[in-house]
Amino acid sequence: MAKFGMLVDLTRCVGCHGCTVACQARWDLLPQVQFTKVHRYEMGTFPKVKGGVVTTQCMHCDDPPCARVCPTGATRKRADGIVVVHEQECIGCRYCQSACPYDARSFNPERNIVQKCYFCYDFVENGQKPACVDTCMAAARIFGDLEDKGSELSQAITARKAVQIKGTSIFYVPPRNLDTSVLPPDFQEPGAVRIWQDIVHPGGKTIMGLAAGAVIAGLVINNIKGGGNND
Amino acid sequence: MTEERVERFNLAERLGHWSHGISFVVLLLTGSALVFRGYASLIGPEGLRLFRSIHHVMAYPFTFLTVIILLFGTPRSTWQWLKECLTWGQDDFRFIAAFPREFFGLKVQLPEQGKFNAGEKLNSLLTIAGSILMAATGWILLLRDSVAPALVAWALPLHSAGALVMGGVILGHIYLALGHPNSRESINGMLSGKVAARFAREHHARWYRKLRAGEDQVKGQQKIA
Repeated sequence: MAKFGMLVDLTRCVGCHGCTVACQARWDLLPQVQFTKVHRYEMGTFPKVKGGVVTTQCMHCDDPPCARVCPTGATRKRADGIVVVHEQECIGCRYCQSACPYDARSFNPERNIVQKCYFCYDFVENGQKPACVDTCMAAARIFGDLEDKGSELSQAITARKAVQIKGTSIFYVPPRNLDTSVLPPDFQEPGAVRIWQDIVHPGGKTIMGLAAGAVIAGLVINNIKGGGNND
Repeated sequence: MTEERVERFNLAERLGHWSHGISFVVLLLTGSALVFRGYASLIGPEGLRLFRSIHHVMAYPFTFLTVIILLFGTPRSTWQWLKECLTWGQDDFRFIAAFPREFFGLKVQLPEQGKFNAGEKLNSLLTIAGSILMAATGWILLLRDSVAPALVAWALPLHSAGALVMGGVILGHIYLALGHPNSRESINGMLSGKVAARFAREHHARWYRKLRAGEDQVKGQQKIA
């Protein structure tokens, strides 16, 4: 089984926004829905200022919090590592949107669903490249199979000393002379998601279950005793 | 001969109770589908979208209607109720300690109580606190595009926690009102407003005495006039 990933070479990216637009065209997205974005940053103080661009998108996390919180199972991680949203199962509760540590999900107010980068899975299945990779005139993006050591992606990761954002499927080649703080942080499950899913849900269900059990026990005991002193 | 009955709740008190009760139960039934996976898959995406619309509409009566009814319909008894809920004496704590035996139908002697027993006071306080929590976090989620994302992220677990705890509380509340042989007479207080005098005397002795004393006073005044 493949495990798909992507490398973005920021030494090549010119910040043209071609990826954002090509993606929107392929997926027929609303203008405000952008699966991949281009951010400009500046570092240092005048006159020693450096600037550049970083692209962001769904990181296709190894253990995606968006899939954990999804109450319908519309968001799930496929065996090939791609995190998808089955849009017809999405009810637009937007739990995933606040669970995502990378702010990589967009709400579509017309269809009342949440959408995000799908790594162009159905095009990839047909042997095509993702739209952002296809369109990138600087060839800054490489898509491929991380498990295939011979793939263009695997070779580029080694050759260009790419940095993996830990816990995700995304690699960056950082711009020369710039520290990695401009890149998205390594994966960490948000505290609110952990407390919600690991403590609140099981704890709350236990409380409700105990209450229901107490009521049933009370009903049984009272029935055996044949009613109270008020009847 | 029909049983003697005494008024426990006026119309506004009852309407306030039911506007809260009905909106809460509808909110709980439509909302808990997002907590229990089996329930969610039973309802399906179409049903859940309908649930969402109902859930959002019910936010309005849940937040505003009960407060309006109680505040404008019966401000004095609302004030009395709040005052009683916040006043806790020895008898109240002894009642809470002894009540689990009563709940399960075991023999127990409960201390004398006012119009609201300590359990009802605890239920009232939990309901007030829980409703404020649910309304506050719920409106944060409804208005999520105009508040800080961190606020939304923390409103979600708090909204779930409040729902599940209050869900447990209402199960006990419904059982005591409908199923428990000693306390189920109290449902009549919320339907017709009146409860059996015997029930009032046995379960709310302190309140019943005051009620009788008040009646005697009125009768006495009528005699003088």
